[in-house]
Amino acid sequence: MRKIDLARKPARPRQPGPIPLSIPPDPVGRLAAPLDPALLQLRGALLPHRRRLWLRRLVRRTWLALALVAMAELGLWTLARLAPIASAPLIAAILPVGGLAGWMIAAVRARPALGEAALALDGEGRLGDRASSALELAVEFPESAGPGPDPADPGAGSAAGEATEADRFIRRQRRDALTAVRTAPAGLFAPRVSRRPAAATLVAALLLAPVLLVPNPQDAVIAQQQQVREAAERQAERIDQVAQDLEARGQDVNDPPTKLAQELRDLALRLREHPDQLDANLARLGAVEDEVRAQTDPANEQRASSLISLSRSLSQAATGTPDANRDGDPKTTRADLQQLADNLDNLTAEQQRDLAQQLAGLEATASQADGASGTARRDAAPSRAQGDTAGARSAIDRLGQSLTGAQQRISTGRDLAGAASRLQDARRDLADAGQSTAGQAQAQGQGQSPGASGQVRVRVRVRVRVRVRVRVRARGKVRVRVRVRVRARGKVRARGKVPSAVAAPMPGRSATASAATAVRPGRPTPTGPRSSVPTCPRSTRRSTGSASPAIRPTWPGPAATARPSRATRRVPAPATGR
Amino acid sequence: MTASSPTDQPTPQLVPEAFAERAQAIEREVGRVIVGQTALVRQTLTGLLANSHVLLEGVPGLGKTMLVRTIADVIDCAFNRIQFTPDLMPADITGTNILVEDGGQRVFRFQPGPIFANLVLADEINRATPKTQSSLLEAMQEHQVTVARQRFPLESPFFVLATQNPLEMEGTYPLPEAQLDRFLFKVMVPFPSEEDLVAIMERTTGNEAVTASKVCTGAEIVEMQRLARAVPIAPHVTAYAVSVLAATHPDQPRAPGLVRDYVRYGGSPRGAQALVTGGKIYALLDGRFNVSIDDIRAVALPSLRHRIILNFEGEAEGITSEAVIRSILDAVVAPTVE
Repeated sequence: MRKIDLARKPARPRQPGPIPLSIPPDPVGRLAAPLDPALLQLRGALLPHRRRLWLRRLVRRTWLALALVAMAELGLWTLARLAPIASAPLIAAILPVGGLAGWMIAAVRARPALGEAALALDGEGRLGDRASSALELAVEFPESAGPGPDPADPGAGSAAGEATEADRFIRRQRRDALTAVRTAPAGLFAPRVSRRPAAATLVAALLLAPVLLVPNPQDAVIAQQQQVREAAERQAERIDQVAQDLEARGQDVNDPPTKLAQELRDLALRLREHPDQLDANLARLGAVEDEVRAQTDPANEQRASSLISLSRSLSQAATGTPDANRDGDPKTTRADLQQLADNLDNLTAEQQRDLAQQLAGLEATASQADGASGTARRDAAPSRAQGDTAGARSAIDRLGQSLTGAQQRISTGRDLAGAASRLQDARRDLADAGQSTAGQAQAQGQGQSPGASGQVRVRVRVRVRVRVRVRVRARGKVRVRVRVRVRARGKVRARGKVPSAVAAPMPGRSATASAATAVRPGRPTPTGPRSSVPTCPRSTRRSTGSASPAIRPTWPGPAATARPSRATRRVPAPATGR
Repeated sequence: MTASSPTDQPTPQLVPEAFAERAQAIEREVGRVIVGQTALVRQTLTGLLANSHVLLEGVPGLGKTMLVRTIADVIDCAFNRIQFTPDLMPADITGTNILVEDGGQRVFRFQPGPIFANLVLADEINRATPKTQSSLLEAMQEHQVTVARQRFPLESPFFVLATQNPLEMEGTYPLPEAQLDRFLFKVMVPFPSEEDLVAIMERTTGNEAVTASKVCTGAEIVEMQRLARAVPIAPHVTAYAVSVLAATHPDQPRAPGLVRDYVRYGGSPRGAQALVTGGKIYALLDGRFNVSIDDIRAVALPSLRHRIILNFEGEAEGITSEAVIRSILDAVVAPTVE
């Protein structure tokens, strides 16, 4: 059996709102002329009240707009303290403009109709619905809205009947309403302060003041993001430049520099499209850099040295002049070899033997320089020794061509190495942009108020160990100079000893080796805010290239060791304010 | 039965501006006898001018009968009083055919009952049986009486003023809803204030008896009734009256919580008619020629209190229909502009 819960009452339907407002229409817009003069006078008497009502509505909407804008500003700046909103100042500037636009639209829409003015006047002036009834009755009974019968006409009032009675009543009511409207208090619809919007405005303003005055920790985060974006843009331009350089040197689309250039352009595009994705950009940059490094021959510089040496020796051998082609230019060597090939028939047997011996003596160098050069040289030497002039000429030609090819390959390798080096620079700069501002943000968040001026004093303890093994095989006097450069912005003061710092060279490049300290203890360096011990590529690029080709550095680069230097770094605080 | 026919007098042409003046003269004259009770007098007069009927409810001794008598004195028209008792029969009210000799022949002739008057006081109407009570239905609604398949029209103005005593309920027959609905207003007769009591003592215990003089004729009352019906009403005021009536029904969305919880049935369309008609007369009495929302609100209590039927929970918890109507007036807010 079904149990009936007597205590349970049915759910109540939603309470409807107030009775729909039926605004009396304006008889002028609804009825054809001519109208009863009393009706027109009533309209005229209502107009000042309508203007005052509009003014009161405008004041109310002003308060509403102020409250909305103040609350929106409060919400915005509160949110801006919780999350970094870079466009917060822009939005904050737009909000009042939007509020003003909204107020203007509301002001136009708030213009009361004549019927609204009549209703409001009835309510506020306690006219007993006289004015609104007069307007409604005029439209409801259009036959009574026209000019009335002449009171002087004796026949006008004689017509009896319900319609005449109703007409008399309506006209009486209209005159009564006109009298009431004319005698209504003049101080009606005085603008007044809207309490709730005013209170909301006041509260929002009071809360907004500390929100705006107390420094916002998110400013540092925004500054960091901005710096990262700017750094990304800069590095994108730099990468574009690298790509442009590589493209200019590439010969066809399958050429490694051309391929790399395309890849670098993609990378630059990504950096521009997603400048704020620091980690992803760094990873992508690192991946491209690794890829470029994989294509780079570590022995490229060694081969270049060998090629120079081989070219010089070949020119000397071809021309018989000890000072020939001192720069070791392969093109000069090729020309010399071409000339030699042309004069092979004119050489004496002794000269041919000497030439064969000299070519044989260049075996080691030719092998280091290039495989093809070595083969050509090996072909040329026996041919010459055996008196095979045609074979020797052909071998000498191939030798010249192989020298040119080797020079191109070395050039390509250098381009790739240079590109890798510039990519590394870009990556480091990008990482520095993120890290330095992160440090600033942390410093601000922990202690220093971001709005205060002054400097942040950060103690940085750097402990770098650089271990360098240099095997020098050279003739004559070799001067090795080691130089450590600490690049920083602002004032950097290093304490303690900076021992002999070593900048490790790249393979095949010269190494600096003097133990002069670039950062002298206790003396500030005048450069920028970043303090870093340069890493291998930068230092090698800046090192003086005065070593002889026989210098054979070890690779991979430096096992860094640098004895600790306790540096006190002064980093300027970011600009405050919004 | 007093036979003074108002139709014999010439019909006066009453201008609307004179309506309030004439009504105030009646009130003033009634006020000479009835001390205080201005609302009671106003509402009773409204019922008369609306060409309808009024039910007065109050404890004995508050002057209900005196009020009706005074009104009859003030208005120059026929007045009859019917004291309702349990053994009162319908024929005792409407009249009956009696056998009379006329020219040597015996014929049935209709002998009109006390209902044939301009003002009829149905005193303690709830003491008569429902059968007798229902004999008033046709007279009140259609202003005619049917006896033996013969219709007898009642003269205008025809105004039934019934009284009932809420205390002595033993042996009474509460009026059925259909009967109640015929009354325009149900007016509660309040106990007079101390000042009014002092004045009553002074007037009624001395040698000099205060009497009211006639200030109005029945024809003038009819003219005032016609004039009252001609008062125009704006659509938004009519809409408000309809909304108030709709809110008396518990199944209507506009009904307040008190109505939904404690009301079984709300007012009939006659309730809205009573609101509008009463409002028109209130407007004229106020010197206006249009009905306002305040007029509707002013007549809401007497118009609706007898038309709202409470359910069991409402009666058990002592909810009054007045409280229900006040909650309706609170809930149905007049439309206002900003």
